[in-house]
Formats: sequence, C-alpha cells, structure tokens
Amino acid sequence: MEFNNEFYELEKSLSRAGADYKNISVPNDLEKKLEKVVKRAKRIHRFCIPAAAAAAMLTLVILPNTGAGVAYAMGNIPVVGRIFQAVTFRNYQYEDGRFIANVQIPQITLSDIGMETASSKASSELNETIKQVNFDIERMTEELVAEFEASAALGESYNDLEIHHETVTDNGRYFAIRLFIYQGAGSGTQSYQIYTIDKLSGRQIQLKDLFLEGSDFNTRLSENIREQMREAMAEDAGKAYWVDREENPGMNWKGLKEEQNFYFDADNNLVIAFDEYEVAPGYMGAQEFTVEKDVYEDLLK
Amino acid sequence: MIFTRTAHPGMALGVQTKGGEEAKRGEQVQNSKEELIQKTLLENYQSYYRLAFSYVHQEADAMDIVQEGAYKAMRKACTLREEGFVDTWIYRIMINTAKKYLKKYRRTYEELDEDCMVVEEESVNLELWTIVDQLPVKEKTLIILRYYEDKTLMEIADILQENINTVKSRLYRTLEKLRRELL
Repeated sequence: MEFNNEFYELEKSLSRAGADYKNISVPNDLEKKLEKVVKRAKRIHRFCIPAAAAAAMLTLVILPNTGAGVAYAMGNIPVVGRIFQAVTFRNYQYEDGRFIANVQIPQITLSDIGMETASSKASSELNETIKQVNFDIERMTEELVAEFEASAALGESYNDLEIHHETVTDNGRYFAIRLFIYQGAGSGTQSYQIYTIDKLSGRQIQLKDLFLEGSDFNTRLSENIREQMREAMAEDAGKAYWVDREENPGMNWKGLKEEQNFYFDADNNLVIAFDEYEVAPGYMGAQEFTVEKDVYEDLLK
Repeated sequence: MIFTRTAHPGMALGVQTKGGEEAKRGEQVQNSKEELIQKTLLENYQSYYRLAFSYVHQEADAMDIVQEGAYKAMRKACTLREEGFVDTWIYRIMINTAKKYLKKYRRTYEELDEDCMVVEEESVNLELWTIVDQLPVKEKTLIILRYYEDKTLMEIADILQENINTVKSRLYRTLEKLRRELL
C-alpha cells in the first residue's frame, strides 16, 4: 500500500475489484494469432545495428544527375524513343543508436533518345508534370527528414525513417513511381505514395481519370477488393481486414478515396495501394490489392 | 566509422569494415532479445489483452491492439536496452498502440460508449470496477497496473516513462477522486 492508512480501505477494495478485472475473458484464439504475428515479424529483417558499431554518422550524398547520355551509355539500350527513369538523386543516412534513417530521394528524368525532342503540347505538358512531381517528392521527403532530424536532436523516444522508391509501372501508356515510407515515431507507420503519369496526355492522373464519367468504378473495384479480403481471411486466420465487422462497424473500410494510390502491374492489371490502417489493423502493414482487368474493363475510358 | 549504403533497406545490413565481427555479435544479441520478447509476449498476453480491452471495450479491437503491439515489439527488439525490463517495455508499446487506436477512432468509440456500454453481471466489487473503468485513460491505466496487475510504482514509472514522483502524486489524486465518487 502506498499511502499509509489514508486510503487503506479503498486500496483494499481496489485489490478485490481486481477479480472483476480478471473476469474480462481473453479470446481463446488470441494465443495462436500472436504466434503467427510473432513469426511474421521475425521474417522481416529489421535494419538494426549493434550499439558498438553505431558511432553517430551522417552522410549526405548528392549523386550526379543521370542525364540522357549516361543512361544510354550505361544501360546500352538500343531504343529510339522516350525514356522515363526514376533515379536516386539524394541519399540520406543517419545512425545513432535509437535514431536510424535510410532515405533515398528520387527524381524522375525524361530523355529522348535517337529522336528529335518533340515540342508538341503534350510534350511540354509532360515536362511540366515531371517538374511538379519531382518538386512534390522533394518537398515531402525533405519535410520527413527535417522532422526526423528535429526529434534526433532532441533525443525524443526512438525514431526510424525509411524511404525508398521503385518504378512500378513503365509501359507504353503509363509511368508510375512508388515511394515506400516507414516512419517509426513511437509506434511507427508505413505508407505508400505513388505518382502515376499518363505518357499520352502528359498529366499526372487520379483513379477517376481512367474511367468513363459517371461510371461507378468505385463500387466495382471496392467490392472486388472486399471479396479478396474475405478470401484472404478465410484462408489464413492470422489475417484481418476491416470488412464485415459487426461489432464496431464504423471501422469497416468505406471504399476508395479520390486520391487513392494505384499503378499497373506487368500484365496491365490495376494495383491499388493502401496505407497502414487504411483497410486493416496496423500489424498487417501497408497493403496492395490487384484487381484483374476484366473486372473493370468495360468502364474504362 | 562512416559508411554509405545504397542497398535496399529491407536487406540485411552488410557492414563491410572491421565492424563485421561486432555486427555478428550484435545479431546474436538481437536474436536472444527476440526470443525473450516472444517468450514474454506469450506468457503475459492475457494481461496485455485485458488492459487493451479496458481501453476499447471491444473484443476484436482489443485483439488487434495486442497483435499490433506484439508485432511492433518484435520488430523493435533492437531498441530494448535492459532485458530485465522487457515486461514494462512491452506494456509501454501496448499502451501506446492502444492510445493510437483511441485517437484514430475517437468518434466511433464515443458513439459506442453512448449506446452499448451496458454492464449486466452483479457482484460486490462491480460498482468499483465500473467506476474505475470510466476513469480517463491515464488514471485508469494507473489503477489497473497498480492494483490489478500488482506493478510497483517503479515499474509503472518505467512503463509510462514518467518520474516516480509524478506517478505517485497522480495515483494519490486518482484515489482521492475515487473516494469522492464512492461516498
């Protein structure tokens, strides 16, 4: 007892009331689920340096801008046409015990190889778009790095920052770059940011730009994704998505957002990306769902 | 030591200097920490679940919180410094996860609190537990940890990352408040 006799009776009753607290029944399957979660977490190799090897280090590398000539020479690509590339133009690393950053900031470059640089309207629109996307990427990533540096300077809790990028679509029509962002402030969140560019119109596009005006593509796609969620949960009891939840239905996923991230896979199927917490509890991480072409083909523009 | 690495961060970290030995030893330490965390999670998961449940009052959500907390704890194994504090360290992660949940879905929980928080069973101490259950999260956590989970003030201070005197005075105020409500 902490406060002598002052609260003696109350503290005794509180201890007794513990029986009611312990009456909160724990679901039988929780233990099995936890074993699965633990297994899944172990599979992901965290980047974690032993403290002894972790002398504070800070490296900022500005990589040379990979221009057209270089890309051509290095890749030795025997093509004529327009080459889209995402190159890491800035690399930021920081390591100091609890604070770990590994950031690659990309830029999209465009080069015309073996042909006259087109000067059409679409072409100048495309250049504008790429400039805008690069600007957006730079601003967002710099903000995250600044936030990270501020908390590292203060030594507040623990913090990771990971950003890397990947070209996820590059076909005749579309180019898409995906940024993976992991921000580990306290509990940590994973998210994706995808920039999808229509090479034909030269514009950055949203999901709705793909579909006929007035068509209910959202319901069509969302229902397909919900179905995939149900199947995944039926197959693996360790998986959970926010669909068909009867208790607390306010939490169920409500459908695609206007600015939903998406790209196309190698077979031209639509891939929809979700941030952590968007469609599933946090331990499921960020999620992607592929919707087959024939599900939505008739609604395309 | 300075190195630059451009490899994918998901890959194992290749420290290519004389730090290699240290890295190997580090990996062993890492594995033993993971084992310890895993063991503690599976031993104490019922306590974590009850605490989570008393925050959200929903079975499915409390399960999510515990699973998510377990996942984070495993992934953050390297940040566990003192192995003797593994239990308080996991509690801290669970509480932070639960709070994040509450914050994210505050509106949903407020609606729920209004219409479906009905207690049915009768028992001598039920009244007291009901009052505790309705305390603000911070105070409720204190009471649960101290009287239901038998944690020392020291351990509670470590879980909440607060000064022990802060914990003590908050507990005092909470007890005063409870006594007033019971009168």
